[in-house]
Amino acid sequence: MANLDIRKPRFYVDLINFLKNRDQFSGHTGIETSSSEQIDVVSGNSVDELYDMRPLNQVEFNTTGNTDGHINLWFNLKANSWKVDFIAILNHNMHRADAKVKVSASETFSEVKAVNHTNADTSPNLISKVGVEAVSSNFAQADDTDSWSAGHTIIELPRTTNTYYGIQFEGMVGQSSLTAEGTFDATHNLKIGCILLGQYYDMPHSPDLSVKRSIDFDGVKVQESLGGQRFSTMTQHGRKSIVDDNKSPFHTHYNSFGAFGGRMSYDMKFSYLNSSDVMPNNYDSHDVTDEAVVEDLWNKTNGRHTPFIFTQDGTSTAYSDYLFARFGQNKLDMTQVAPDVFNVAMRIEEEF
Amino acid sequence: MSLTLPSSYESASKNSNIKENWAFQLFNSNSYLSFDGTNDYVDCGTTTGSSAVTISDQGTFAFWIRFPTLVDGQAEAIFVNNVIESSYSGIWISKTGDHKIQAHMMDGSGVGSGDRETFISGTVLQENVWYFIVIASNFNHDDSAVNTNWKIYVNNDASGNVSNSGTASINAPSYTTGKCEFGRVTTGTDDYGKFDIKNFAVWELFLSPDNITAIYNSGNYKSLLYDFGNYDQSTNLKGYWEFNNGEPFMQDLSGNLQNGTINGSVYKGFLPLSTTNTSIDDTFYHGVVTSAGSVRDSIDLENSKAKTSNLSVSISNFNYKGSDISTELLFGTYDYFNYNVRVYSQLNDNSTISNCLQIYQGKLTNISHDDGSISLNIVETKPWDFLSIPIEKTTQKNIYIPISYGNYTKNSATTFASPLFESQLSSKAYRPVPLNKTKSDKILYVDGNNTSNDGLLAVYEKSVDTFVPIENGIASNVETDNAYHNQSDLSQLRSFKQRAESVEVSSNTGITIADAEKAFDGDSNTFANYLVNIEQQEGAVRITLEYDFHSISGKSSDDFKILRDSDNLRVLTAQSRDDDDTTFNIDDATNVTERDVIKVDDEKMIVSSISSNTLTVSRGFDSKKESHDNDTLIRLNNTVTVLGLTYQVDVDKSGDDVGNNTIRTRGDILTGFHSTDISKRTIYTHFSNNTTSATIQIEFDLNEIGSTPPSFDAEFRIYDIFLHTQRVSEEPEEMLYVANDGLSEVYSGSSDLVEHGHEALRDILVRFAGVNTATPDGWSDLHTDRNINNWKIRWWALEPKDIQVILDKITYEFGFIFKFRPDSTSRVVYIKQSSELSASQTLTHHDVKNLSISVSGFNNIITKMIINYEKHPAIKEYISNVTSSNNDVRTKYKIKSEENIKEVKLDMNVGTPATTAQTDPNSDFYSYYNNIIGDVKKLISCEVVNSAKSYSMETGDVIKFDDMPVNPFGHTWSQSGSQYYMITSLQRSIGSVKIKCREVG
Repeated sequence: MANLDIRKPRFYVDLINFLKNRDQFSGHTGIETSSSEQIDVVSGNSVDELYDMRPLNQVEFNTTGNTDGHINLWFNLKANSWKVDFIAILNHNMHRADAKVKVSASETFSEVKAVNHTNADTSPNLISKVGVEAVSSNFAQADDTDSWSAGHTIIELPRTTNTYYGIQFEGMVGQSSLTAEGTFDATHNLKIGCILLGQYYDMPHSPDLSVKRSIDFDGVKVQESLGGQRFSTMTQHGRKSIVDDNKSPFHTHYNSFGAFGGRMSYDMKFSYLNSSDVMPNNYDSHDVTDEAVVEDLWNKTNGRHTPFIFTQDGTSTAYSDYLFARFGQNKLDMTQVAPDVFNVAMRIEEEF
Repeated sequence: MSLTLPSSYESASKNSNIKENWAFQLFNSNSYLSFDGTNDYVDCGTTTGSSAVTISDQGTFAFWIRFPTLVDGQAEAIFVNNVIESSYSGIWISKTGDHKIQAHMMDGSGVGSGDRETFISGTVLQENVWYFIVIASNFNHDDSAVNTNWKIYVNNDASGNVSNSGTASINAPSYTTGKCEFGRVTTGTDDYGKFDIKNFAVWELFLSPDNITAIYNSGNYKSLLYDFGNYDQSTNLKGYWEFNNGEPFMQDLSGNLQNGTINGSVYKGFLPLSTTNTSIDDTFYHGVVTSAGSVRDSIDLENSKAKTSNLSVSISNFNYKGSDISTELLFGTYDYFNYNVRVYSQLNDNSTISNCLQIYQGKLTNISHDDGSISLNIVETKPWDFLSIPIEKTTQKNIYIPISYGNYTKNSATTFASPLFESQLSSKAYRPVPLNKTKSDKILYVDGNNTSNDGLLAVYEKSVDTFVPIENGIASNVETDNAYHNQSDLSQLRSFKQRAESVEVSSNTGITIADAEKAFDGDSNTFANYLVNIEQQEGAVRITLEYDFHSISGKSSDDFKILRDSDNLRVLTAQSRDDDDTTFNIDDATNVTERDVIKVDDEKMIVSSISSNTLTVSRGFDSKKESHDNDTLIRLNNTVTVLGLTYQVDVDKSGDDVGNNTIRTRGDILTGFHSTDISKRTIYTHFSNNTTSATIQIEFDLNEIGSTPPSFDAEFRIYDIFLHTQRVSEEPEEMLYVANDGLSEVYSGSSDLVEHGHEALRDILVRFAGVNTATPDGWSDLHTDRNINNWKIRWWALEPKDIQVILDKITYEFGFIFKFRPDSTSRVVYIKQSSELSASQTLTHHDVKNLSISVSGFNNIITKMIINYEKHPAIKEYISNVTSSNNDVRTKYKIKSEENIKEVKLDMNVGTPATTAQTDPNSDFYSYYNNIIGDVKKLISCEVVNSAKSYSMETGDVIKFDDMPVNPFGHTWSQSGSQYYMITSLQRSIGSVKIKCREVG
């Protein structure tokens, strides 16, 4: 939507970080490298940092060392009840590395670890959302509009509830079709900043008209000399391009000149939400079948603890309308304005 | 000279609106130095055949290395220990074009295959993999046993066969004056190596397999500086460098001073953190620093000290490689504690570290964390932290080998045959040397420095405060037991003359006394005078004088030793003698001196004179007389005490007839009757060795001639009265003294004697603290001002002292400050003469805020000093002292005579402080400190908000102020003589520089 016009917001909430934070047994993510056809990270990198919610901290894979190999990332949700309907790959250079992604799900762990996800139970038909050039079956190709194309990609998929998920990156050079085998670029390694996997949540309706959007250059300190001269020091300006293939989420220009600086924030109020849209049916135990602000949003992010992807218009497919963000408040106030009707206010603050 | 900013950093700082980020590099055991293969190298300085690292008999080299890329046919130079441009020299280690480790042993001539023996590992290395390489050899080139003589281990595996090429047929490398370098071979066309390296060790021994397995440490890097497990050769390291600590230069940790200067190579493998996400040199810095703290650098001009504060940094306990970073920093995979932390200021996201300004370097010394955050405590460290000197010991008795600096002056030789007065033994420029042991017929004292001329030892005679050279001293010293030693004979024979200490008149019947003390005033040309001018009186007048002498050290009982000739053969009597004979022929009188006491059989005799081998003796001294047979053994007493009197008699001063009058002395020394004038002469008499006093009665005896009462106008002059002693030591003295000069400097290559305080500091830094030889900023000016006698040093250390304490004392006593800059280069700071000052910056009201003006305060001024200087070598006192005063200031502030006086003790400085301050404060100690604390000084503090001026500032900079909203008290900002200010404190945080300044001229 042009001008970041505000419609019905959508939140892409990461399930991986939720599980990592709540499950003391860990073991939710990994990379399979047991086969010679499988590619590991470059020495000194750690695949765990794909889920650190710091997209500028990229993980580099040794795709140039094995151009016809495969990167097999796996996810173990420990139960087949979690709803998954999106995968976000932030700050990647899939276009430069000639990479595409394949997504599968299964109830058999080994199947999502295997090269090409052989025999995986589910091969979802992917849905293009943001930063996607093409999709075919369970394959997706990243946006290749610009030659540098460090990108940010959100792929949606029909809501599934498998225990195991696999994301495979593989090459595109020489492929006969998007679903066929290809090779990675021989010069540039694949780099990925962050991967989110989980369920998006759409607010029941648009926020009140009195939405306040702010852009805050909060890293600026101005000092004044005795003579009235002012000197300013800035510690950060917000979104940036460290290099042309390492950018803040949803910033697409190849350098920082082209970035909009400052920290964007929204103060929104949603009035007259039904109580069923605010609170879960039961508060004694989670209910994965339920859909509510507290169930799917506030609880899954642990309040302001975990960042998420926010768009002020859930229908938009433009980079421009998306923010990597977190809640700006510690508590979620729900004010009853009529029987079983509540007003909810929330503050969204951008992360870089 | 203020900080030199990287050009792009300086350019950015000129803008009043800048973006600043602080980047932190946390080094750890997995860090390394990276060579680019294009022009990077580390220069470890000049080596010769006598350098520690130029091993010859056998050798082992061990290092952790990685080749990030492998290009077929591309060799990579790793290490050379003696490379020269013209021909093959020393040992080279490199990787071959087919990716194997090889070692060359060069013959020193030519550049062909006939000038080398090359040994190549059979193991092919892989790209981007760390390897632990050990090359161990006895240097035998025998091709038939190459795998026995040369072992090349790759990850503790030597099974890859070693092959040999080259036909030099040598079993040891040839060395000349060359260079020790990493990453470069400069013979012919320069070749560089591309590799990453963590450490490099050299031993001059064929390291055993047990040792090699131990240092491989199952594939985990471990420092080789200390023994562990089966590794027991750390003390035999000839060169050892660790490349993983982010040091500004590569310190040779073996202590052999082959320190390296880094040229282009960059450190990697550190933990990169920053206040915002950024990338520098293609390294991503995690923007997790929530509080960067501030860096405070200060200097104390009053005490000549510099200090940099600790840095406290807070970071988020972020997820790092899958775990909280708190699990990484301590008890994790790698060690971070006590490793370096470098802090850089990055302006406007500049992506190159060379364009960032290093603002701090310290070591991580403490960490605390909770679930969300981590506090890092980074402490400024110096290369000499926890180091003391001396640390070298003798090998047998573990006596510390003294360290000494300065120019020393020995006293002239004094012997029993040619004794000197104590006043002629005036030099106290000696230093103590401790007893080590007796070896053969010598007693050895640990000197520490080599000499061929100045190794003569001296005994300190405390009672007369004199250093008396040992009679049979040896000028050269000897290297044994791990140290240079001075030598004395077994008896430690010494002899000298001491004048009387005092005189008392116990009775006087009419003699006039003039200048009684001139009999012992140290001048043999002045005299005490005893006069009579008596008219027509008969009888004697007398004066009784009691002289006291000091007790002398050493054995006081008889010490008869067999008399030996110059060939060390025993000397016998050459004739039989009766008990009344006064001459005695002996075999050889070479080692007999007048006034010696000899013993034949049981009779002691005093030798009065010697003619050839005939002695004239006074028989029965202190013993009975007896007859002696021919060929009787002669013994010589080494402990002798002789009273000497130098006098003159004038019996007829007025020219009158002296008649029957006589003058004589009675008591302990007898002149005999004199009735005629006697010219100046010296007479002697032997005393027992415990005698410390002498009584003389001068008698003027008037005897009538006929019936006329006599008159007597006469005088008796005493020029000197002294004890001439010879002593030996009962036991070897625990401490003797030597005037062998101190160390020669090692920091510039001149090998000049270190004579001045600032030179001593720099030599200590390089020699003992491992600081590189780079010239500190400001050194040239300091040396120009201080290369004068008033800043000379004499200092020694016999027992370990903390180097920091030593350096603090040097900088105080010699009036300058040594400091490390944030980038670990060094600087010397001192206050120049007012007319020589110039400002590096002039600050106006457009540049600063929070201006504050104060003064140093009356309580902090010192207007008078009692300065004790020239520390005594033997006792806890000072040879000299002076009272220096600033009377103008004392008058101005109405300071009472006994107020505001400070006593100063200078243990190193042997220059002479002025009594009143000189115009040039660098003239001497007092003038320098009077310029700082002799009067109230203005203090200015402010926050410099103009980064164009503030970012290059550092402590020690001299600046000016101008165009301010208020003048400093009654002065203007351009007040002549007090318009310059030195920055004494600088606190830097992101976007802010706060300074404190002190008026300096």
